Parts: sequence; structure tokens; C-alpha cells
Amino acid sequence: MFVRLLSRSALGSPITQYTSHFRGPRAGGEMHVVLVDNGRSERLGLDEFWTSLKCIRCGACMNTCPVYRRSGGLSYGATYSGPIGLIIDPTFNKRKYSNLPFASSLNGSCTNVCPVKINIHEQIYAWRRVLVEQHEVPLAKKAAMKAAGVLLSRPAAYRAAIAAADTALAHLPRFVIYNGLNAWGKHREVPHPPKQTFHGWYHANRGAKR
Amino acid sequence: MSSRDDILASIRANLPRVDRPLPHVPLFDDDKPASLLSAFKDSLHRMGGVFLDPPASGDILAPVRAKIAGAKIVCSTVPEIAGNRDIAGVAAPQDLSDVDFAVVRASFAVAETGSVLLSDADLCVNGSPTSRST
Repeated sequence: MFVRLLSRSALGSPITQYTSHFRGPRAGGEMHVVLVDNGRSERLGLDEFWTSLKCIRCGACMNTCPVYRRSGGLSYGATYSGPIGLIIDPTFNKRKYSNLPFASSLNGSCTNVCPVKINIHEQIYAWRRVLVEQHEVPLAKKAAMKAAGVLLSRPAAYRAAIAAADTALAHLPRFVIYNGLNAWGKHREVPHPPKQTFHGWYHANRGAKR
Repeated sequence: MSSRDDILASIRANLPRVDRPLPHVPLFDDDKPASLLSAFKDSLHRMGGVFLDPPASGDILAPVRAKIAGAKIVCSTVPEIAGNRDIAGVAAPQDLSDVDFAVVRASFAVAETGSVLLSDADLCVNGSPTSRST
């Protein structure tokens, strides 16, 4: 049953290309089964996260994820990739993978397609709380989150900041924008600033009719 | 204490505290396909397999012989078809990397999935091309 579930959720095929069934050693041989715990039994005791152990590694969450569909399988430097990786990897190393649960829009597509019904996006959200509580989030991220929280709770300030940033991006010389503080700009170009924000366009074109 | 005991003890200590009945698991045998053969053919086709129809002449292995006629190296575990690579002399699976066709007889097939079971006895060496392209 699980082989068919796996294949249907991974490739949409009736069964895997091949599946090996081991029942015992060959005549005259030996068979060894090595079980590796690797923190799994400890994860079993985490109330919020133990259901991630149900994963059958079909990859459906990765194939539907708007982030991983673009970035590919083994991005972000962790062995377990995809949305399920975001909630498994921190159980191996909270500090090393502290950024992963934040790389999600929490749209819940992964949870919708999961054949074993793991609440992936809820666990991603829960991991953010746990990582902040246990002080595993880098200082720069904490400061940025705090600033974003202040800005996003004040629409007028948010719109003013966006307009200021767009104007700044359009006029500042390159060396100001691309420096050590701009991690994004190390390997790629910053997007072109729009001449007008959507809010501004809406206000000018549709706002008067209301 | 062995590592096995360590792991088992840790699992017992960390078992989730959930109180719910075991799920009802259906047997999935209510909705049988009308024709097992056509269900098998359909599923096999979906998975990229090719079904060789037995000819009217009665020699059901004739299409198999025609298929392997042009191949350089054929390894057969089926007595009715002679290959030119003796499986008995193969020590390791990788020695079969140059085989063009392997002819093996499956123990049985599953119609719903278009799959066949190849036991160790059917395969002789688990590395012949069929085990990778069922």
C-alpha cells in the first residue's frame, strides 16, 4: 500500500520502477539490518514535531512548493530538502538550520498534497517560534524581523518606506547598493525599482471611483 | 547496554501520548478490474513497458526471439531461449553491464500496477537489465 502511495505521490505512476523486497539471506549468506537512530527517537518525543516521522519521502511537498519548484532539490545546504526538510533538519542541528523554517511563505500547499497528512506548514510556523524562544535565530535576522514588524503594522509608514527605497534604488550609485551589507546583491542584481507602486497605481486609476 | 537497547529504550520513553483508536484499513479488493490481462497491459503501458502479444501461430516466445535477434549479448535464465552469456559464470552484478537483453521468467504479475515479481531464483543475479527496467 505504501509503495503505491509513494509512487502515486512522487511520479503519478501506478508503482515504482523497481522495489526490492528482502525476506532473508541468500543460501549460504548473511543478512544484516542496521537501524540508525540519528535523533529520530528523540524527535518522537516532540509533541509538535513527531508526526514528521511519518514521511515516506515521496517528494510531493517539494514538487508543489512555490519556493522549491524554483530553487531545486538540494538547495539550502541540508540533506533533507523540500518543505519536509524545513521541519526535519532543525531536529538534527537547530543552529545550522535555524534559517530554513523562515524560507517559506506558509501557503500550505505542502500540507495539502502530503499523502500521509503531515501538517508541514503548521510545523514550519511552530519551528519559527521554537527557534526564537531558544535563541537560535541570528541577531541580524532578529533585528530585521523586529524592524519589519514595526513597519508592517503601520501602513502609512510602510508605503513611505517602500517609496523611499524605490527612489533610493533608482538613484543611488552602485557602490552604495552593492556592498558587504547586501547579501542578496553578492551574486545577483537587485530588481529594478518600479516607477510606481501597485498601491499608488490603484489609487491613481481606481481609487477615485470608490 | 547495546545500541539496540539504547534505541528501543529511547523510543519507549518518547512514544507520543496520543489516545486514539487504530484506523480501519480496507483491503482494497472491492473494485477488481473486469479483465486482469487488459488491466495489466494498460498499467504496463503507462509505466513505459512493452507487451508482446502472443502470435496466432502458437509459439508464444516467437516475439521474444524476434526482439533479441539483433542483440550482441543476451543473458537468458529461461531454458527455452538460448543466450550467449552464461549467468552461472557471473560473479558480481556489474559484470552484466554490457548485456543488451536479459530474458527472465517472472513468478507472477500484478494487474493493477503492471508489475512483475522477480524472485532471487528468477533473476539469478540481481543486476541483470530487467531488474532495472521492469
